Amino acid sequence: MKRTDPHPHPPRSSPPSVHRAYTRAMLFASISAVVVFSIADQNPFFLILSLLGIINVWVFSIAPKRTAPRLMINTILLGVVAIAGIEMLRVGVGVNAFAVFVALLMIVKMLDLRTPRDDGQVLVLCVAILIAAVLTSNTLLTGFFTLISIVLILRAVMLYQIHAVLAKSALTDSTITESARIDIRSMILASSFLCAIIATGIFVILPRNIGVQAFGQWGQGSPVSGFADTVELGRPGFISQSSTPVLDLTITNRDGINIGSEDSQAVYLRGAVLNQYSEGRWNPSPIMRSPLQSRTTLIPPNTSLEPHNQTDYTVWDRQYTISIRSLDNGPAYLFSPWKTIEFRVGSEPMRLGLDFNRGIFIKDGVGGKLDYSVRTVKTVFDPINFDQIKSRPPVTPTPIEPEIAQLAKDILTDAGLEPSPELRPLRDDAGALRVIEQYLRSQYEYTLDALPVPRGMDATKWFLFERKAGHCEYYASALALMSRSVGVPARVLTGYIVSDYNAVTGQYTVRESNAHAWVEAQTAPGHWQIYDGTPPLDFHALHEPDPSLWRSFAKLYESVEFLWVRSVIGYDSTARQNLIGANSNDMGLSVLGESLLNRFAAGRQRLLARGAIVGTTVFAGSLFLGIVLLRYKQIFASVWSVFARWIAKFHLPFSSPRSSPGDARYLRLESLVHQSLHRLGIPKPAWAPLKSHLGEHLKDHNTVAEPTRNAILRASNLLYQYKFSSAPDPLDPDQCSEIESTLRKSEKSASGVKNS
Amino acid sequence: MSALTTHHDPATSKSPGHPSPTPSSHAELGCPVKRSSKLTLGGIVYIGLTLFLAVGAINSQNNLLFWLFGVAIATLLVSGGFSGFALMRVRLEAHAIPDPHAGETLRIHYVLSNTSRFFPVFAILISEIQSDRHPQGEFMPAPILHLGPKQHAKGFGTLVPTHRGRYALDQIRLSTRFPFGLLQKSLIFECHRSFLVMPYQLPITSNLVRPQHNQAEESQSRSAPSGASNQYWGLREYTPGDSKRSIAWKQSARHTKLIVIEHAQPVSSKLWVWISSNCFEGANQADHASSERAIALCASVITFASAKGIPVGLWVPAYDIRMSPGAGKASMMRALRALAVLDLNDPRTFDRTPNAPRYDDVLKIVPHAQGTPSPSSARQVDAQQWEDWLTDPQLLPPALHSHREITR
Repeated sequence: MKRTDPHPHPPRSSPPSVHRAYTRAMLFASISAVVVFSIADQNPFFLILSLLGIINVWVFSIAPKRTAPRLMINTILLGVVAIAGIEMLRVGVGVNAFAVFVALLMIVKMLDLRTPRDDGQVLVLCVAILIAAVLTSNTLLTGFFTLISIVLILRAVMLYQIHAVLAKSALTDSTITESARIDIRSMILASSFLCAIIATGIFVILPRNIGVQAFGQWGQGSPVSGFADTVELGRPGFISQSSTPVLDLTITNRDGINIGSEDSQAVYLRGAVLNQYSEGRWNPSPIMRSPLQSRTTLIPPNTSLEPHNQTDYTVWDRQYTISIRSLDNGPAYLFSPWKTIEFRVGSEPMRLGLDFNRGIFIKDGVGGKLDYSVRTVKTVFDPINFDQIKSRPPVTPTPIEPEIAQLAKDILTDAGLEPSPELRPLRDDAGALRVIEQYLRSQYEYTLDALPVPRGMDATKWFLFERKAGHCEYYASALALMSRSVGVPARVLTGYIVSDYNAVTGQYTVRESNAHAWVEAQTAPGHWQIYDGTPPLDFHALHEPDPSLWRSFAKLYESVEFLWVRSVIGYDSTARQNLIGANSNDMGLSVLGESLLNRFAAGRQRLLARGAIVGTTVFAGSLFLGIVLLRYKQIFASVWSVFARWIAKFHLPFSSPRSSPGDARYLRLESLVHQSLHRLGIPKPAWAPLKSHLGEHLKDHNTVAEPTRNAILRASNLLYQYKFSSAPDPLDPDQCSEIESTLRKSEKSASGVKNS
Repeated sequence: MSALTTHHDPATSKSPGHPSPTPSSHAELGCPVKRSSKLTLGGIVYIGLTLFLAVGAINSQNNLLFWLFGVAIATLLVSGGFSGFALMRVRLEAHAIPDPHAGETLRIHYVLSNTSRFFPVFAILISEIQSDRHPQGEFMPAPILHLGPKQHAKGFGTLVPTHRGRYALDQIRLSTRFPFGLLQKSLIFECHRSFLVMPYQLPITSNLVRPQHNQAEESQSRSAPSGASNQYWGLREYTPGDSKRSIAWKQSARHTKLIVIEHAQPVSSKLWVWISSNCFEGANQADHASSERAIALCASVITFASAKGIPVGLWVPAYDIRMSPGAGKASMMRALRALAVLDLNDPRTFDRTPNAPRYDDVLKIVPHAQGTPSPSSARQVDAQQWEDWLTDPQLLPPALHSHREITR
């Protein structure tokens, strides 16, 4: 029997069977569904556990076509149901618990694939997980991976039809030929493309705002805010380091010019106004919130609202256009800077309660994405004639620890200011607050670590005198209490601090980590000014993204995500109307076409600029990556070969076939022989048989040492035997190692002679 | 395992009595008479899910749910369109059906052609539509997993008929659920094919066919001069016409007259298989199992004896069937066909013995062992005592068990 060539051409892999092709497709579909939900829920733990479960099931059950015993399956199923029941009792019936339960069911089902119907049920469970993912999050990553998952599920469903037909016939299995594979691929692409086109058309054409909340809260995605309308010192509160975007903000001046920049001053977006302090807790005054809730009014879209008694400020300074990505149903705070003098409803009607005096804006009713804009005036106001002011504004009675009051007095005294409010001029109140603010910023440390407050001790006092470190809530509480103790009315505000500007989109992106607490103090009657005791550098170091290369890519990603939010998540009836026309007999196609052309003409410059930036970035990135790959391809190839060898150990379907020890010896020996011949100056041409080449050149070569000559001849005999002999392994390891050592010795001695 | 595009079935071509079908001479082209489409169970569930998504999207105004709803509708439309296109340009040929035996797997061959230029076809099931003339038995449809544009593929379905008789298949259904299994599109073709199902071939014990019917045995009767055997029979005086080679010279010298050696000539006895008319008594009742057993036994004996080279004849006086013993496949098939078409609802009741030569063997199949004398050469076998004549009693097919026996 002729020995096979150890350097064969890469063997053509045998065509896979239908069953194998389907099970692989089912595996990828199930993995993709789990990945999508993990991304949507931001739950890597779920991803890791699910992947481990699926891979185990594949290795031990599906690939070897082995089903688990019924008893084992029923036991695991019972366990899964018990866990799901306990979890639902604990946290309530929610999308997350449902998705986890379905994922576990899917893994158990994959252990029990006995009939084609079982295979189909796995795919149904994949679809259920996908729907759960969409209900959980609507970020760009979720949408992108949902698309990929849908294509994989469609592919698995198509292969399932072929698999099911086979199961109904007398054939046990069949192979997929190359032409069938090509046709299946074409069908998958064609159907995916058609589905995408039709789905997009339906998405655009379907009317919005019809039947809203007819069935309660079903379908509402999870709102993301990081914001809370109370402050409870000693608990983490709304402190979050998550970079999940909450809202997008555009700032324009009276000329409509975007005045945002990366270097601009931070903007404080006010949410809740907390006026009452008790035992380390700040709450909104009851008269502030609940009456507003009970007095909400449905405001039509594109309506502008102003305070009734607007007499002082008639010229607005800036307009803030705010787009909250996802808000909860029911009452919720809307955010705006101080001082807002005009509130403009977006393209959807809103149920609002507005208090312009206190700057509190509450919405009620439907949540989800909300757009609105506010106009403000400058808070740095014209000089006030303090001489005409007869009395100070009253301070809300607050239980303040004596030590805190004393500290405030000491700070003012050290600064040369009168601590007593009766003796201090009103014009000095602003300066007094600045001194206290500076004191807190310089003397205390910012940290997000939340430690429990000692029992029986006031949290603010503990922060000021013992811990001397804390997060923004502590600073705001301390500043407000000290301000009140020296006779200046103050209140704590919670909301967001805005500083992350994206030059591509021209917007500020506000994230969960930008949630903040600060103080407003009334330094003159009717004039509230912002004071923030939080050390700015520390705060921004923790909450602002670092200006690195990775951050630039992240901003690019945010630009794309912004487009996603604007065009898909934020698609509403106004956008629909703009796109397809209100009443059009041709389904709005003519209007759509005209609108697209107009948009292109009007926004061409900007489109080109944006396209140039994005295109250049992508091109540069690809070029860089290509250069790195080409330059260091050996490294990547070796890393890949290590990975492939590791995978091969687990007998996975895509592992590369192993070579026998004999093949390795053959290769080694052959390589040594060629190297020796090359070193001797008689390299073997590719066309010449080894033995005839040796017979022609080696015999006449007088300078070759006898051991080397013999070793080469013996090696050639062994190589020929390996190739043509019918013996199972003619390459005796001892002989081979002896020959190799002889050749290596001669090589070393030759190189030693050369060097000397 | 078989490849998808071509198929060759050697089993059918090799088995006796089953001529291999040739497309050109025996294929019939089906004409589509009806197109139908119906929603599958998966499709119904899918529509429910789509409505669920629609309600969720409208209720929450979640745009991703709107988009998912659009995908769901699009998938439904694409599914209907693709499966409809797939069956637009297909052409079906059905091969003639060879006559099987009851209990044997019959392969029904089809050739499907895709005349479309661009559109491939996937996951087609070819099945026969049940009718009154359809045989009872398990039918497995023929799968065609893939058919590219301008290609043709062969497939076969299997049928295991449980009863003998003349049957016909008239309509073929071509159905597919590709690509997403939501809709099942079908094409129904008119294509008439008739065939005859022979009786069961049971593994009978060899003692039913007597050993002296072996060709190596020879009878004791005198032979014609041209004896073919080389076994010595006797000496006789030379008569003109005898072959000179048969002259025994030594004996002739001894007897001073010409003596020839006479050789024995083998005479093959023939077998008559006689189904007593008593086997068909009560055959117009619902349960024909006992009669069918007798017929199956008869057919099995005929087949067994023919395989041994013994000329076999058939005698069924209840249906006026008398076939003289003949050797060879044609004779066997004639007898089997005669048994296959016996109508148990129309028997005649009188019985008489076959007019068989003295030295022919007669095997009489009776419904139960009778005490009445039979002609001396007729052996009896009780069709009801299958433990006696089957090599393994477990091998009696369920269709040959009566209801009473099954419940017992």
